[in-house]
Amino acid sequence: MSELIHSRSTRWLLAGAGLIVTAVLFGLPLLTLVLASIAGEWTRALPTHPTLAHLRAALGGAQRAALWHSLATGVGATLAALVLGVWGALASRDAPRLVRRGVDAVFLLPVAIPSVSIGLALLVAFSHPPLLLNGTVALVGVTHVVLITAYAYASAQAGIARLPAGVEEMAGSLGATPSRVLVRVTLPLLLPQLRAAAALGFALSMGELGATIMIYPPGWVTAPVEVFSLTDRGSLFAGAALSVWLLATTFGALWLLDRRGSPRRTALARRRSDA
Amino acid sequence: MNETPWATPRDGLESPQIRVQALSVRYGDHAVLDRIDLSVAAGEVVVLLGASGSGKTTLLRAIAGFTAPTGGRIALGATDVTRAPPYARGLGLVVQNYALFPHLRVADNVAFGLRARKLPRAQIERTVARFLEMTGMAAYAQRYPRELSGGQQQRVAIARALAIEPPALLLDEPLSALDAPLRAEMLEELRRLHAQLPNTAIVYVTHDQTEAIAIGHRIVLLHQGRIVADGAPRHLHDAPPNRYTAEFFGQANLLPARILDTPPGADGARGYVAVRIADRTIWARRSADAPASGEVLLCVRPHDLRLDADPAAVSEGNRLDGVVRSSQWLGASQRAVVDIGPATVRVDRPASAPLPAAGARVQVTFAAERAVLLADR
Ligand SMILES: Nc1ncnc2c1ncn2[C@@H]1O[C@H](COP(=O)(O)OP(=O)(O)OP(=O)(O)O)[C@@H](O)[C@H]1O
Ligand SMILES: [Mg+2]
Repeated sequence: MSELIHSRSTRWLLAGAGLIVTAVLFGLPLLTLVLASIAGEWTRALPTHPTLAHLRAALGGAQRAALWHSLATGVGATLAALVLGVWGALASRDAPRLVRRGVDAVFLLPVAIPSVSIGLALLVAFSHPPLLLNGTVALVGVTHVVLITAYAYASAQAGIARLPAGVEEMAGSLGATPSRVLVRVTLPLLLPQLRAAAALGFALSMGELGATIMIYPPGWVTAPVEVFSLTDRGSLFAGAALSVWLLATTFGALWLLDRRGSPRRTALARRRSDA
Repeated sequence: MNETPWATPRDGLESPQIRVQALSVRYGDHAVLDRIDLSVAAGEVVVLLGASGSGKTTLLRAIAGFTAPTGGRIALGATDVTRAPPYARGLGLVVQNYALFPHLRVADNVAFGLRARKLPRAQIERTVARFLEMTGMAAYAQRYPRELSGGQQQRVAIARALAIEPPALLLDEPLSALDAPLRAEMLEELRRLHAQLPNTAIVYVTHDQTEAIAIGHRIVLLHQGRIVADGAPRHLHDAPPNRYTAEFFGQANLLPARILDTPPGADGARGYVAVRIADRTIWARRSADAPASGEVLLCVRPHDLRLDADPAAVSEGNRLDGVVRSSQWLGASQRAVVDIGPATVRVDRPASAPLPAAGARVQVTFAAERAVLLADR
């Protein structure tokens, strides 16, 4: 009994400590951002003259366009990265060890390199015909794909390693062609990992600045780039307001992904509709 | 012992359902299967029996198309499928861990093979219902595999394999994950299912000889990638063709013996051969490929031996002098271990018999027709 109380109190203590650390590390900056987005003035410890003007302004003009550019880039790059990452992981799974190491390196390297360097490298690589992508929207997409495919690849690889033994072979013996096995068995079983990879990749893309700032064309300013230039010009509150919208857009999209993609929920919903 | 009162194979006028010819599988230098020849007729149940690592799973996987043979041919009916991919073979497969699709409900698991064949919806529904009914799983159609017990998962795996109405069903240790009572029940169930599908050939892999006897029309014993015996269970039990079969199948006692040149007495006329063991003359049958003279092995089952403490009481049959080394009561029976000269034999007796004391001098007796001579190799 005392052990139970003991372990329970320990658990509470741990949970409390975790909460405080989380609040300080993550909550405080977020709170500052939100406060700044509604601040009229911020000369004392806390902002004064609260206003919705910044938030309202961030939904129009260049800032609205930037939000849209980020969303489009994020969705497109995430989908492309999923396809590429899953394909890489599937293709290399039965490959000899050395080949797999090579594929690992290609996909995972971008994570280990500063994104500014990636941006620069892509800028140089795609600046000559026939691969002339400089100053195009496509280069923004390519850059984001290069940056986030690592997560899709690593997740897919982890998922493949955890596939239940023999189910794909079983599907084959039941008469399913390899492509049918992929669509009906392998991919559905990888779904949890793919959803996690999509969420992470999308969030990373939405917040990507380092590489994008090296390569973005004038017509495709993304939200982080816009935030950067706003704050660079001294419009701190406007930058904060756009950041808040960026955050809201990202969370909204992730929430949708969670609702749409969750097998447990769909199963529950189906069961409910059965009844 | 194995009077299989159930569906028996049709006599093979047509080509066998499965025909494996000189099939070899090697990994590097290691021959996992070495020139295997095997035919399974429509409706026949062939058990692949063998110790762990003997190549049973490899043979089954080669037939199913998952393991590419390094030599030989595989035909299903009249079609050569040696190079065909698994999905083109149309065989039913049940494996040890069931390999159910965890993301699909029971009904969708069973429908999987039918959907892959793009059959009409109504037909799929009918077939799924029929096989769920047949395996007693109709009430669980909407469950996910993780919501089922091991035995229920096994039934679903069998229903899924049968739903595509395959000409042959391949089962790899399908019952090994179940506990003993459930295993017996499922064996019974399998026999019942087979009676309902009398044309389906079955290849059943196991290393459990009780299972093999219970379900097989024919037992194929594998040892180090080769077939060392192939025949009806009863036949392999009573007249094992070689030493490995005798030892693996039924734990036979094997005693070194020497064939006597001029068998005295009348028994020779009845097909019996006299041999010398520990200064006694013993009569036994000769298996087909035992030598006509020289050193042989006498094979006799533990339950075919009797013990007698009083030499005078023994009048007829073979007898050997022995000393009890140990004895143990096993519930339904008792087992004594008896030293006979340089050899040792196991004797199984009814539990009601008095337990012989260690060190006691006894006579081990047995009938000539229960003893068979084998080549010593
Ligand atoms: N992919 C492989 N590479 C190398 N050797 C293999 C491979 N697959 C199987 N073997 C070897 O082939 C032999 C037979 O294996 P197999 O799985 O067919 O045995 P089994 O009779 O099914 O045994 P068990 O009763 O333990 O299941 C074993 O010695 C095994 O090590
Ligand atoms: Mg095996």
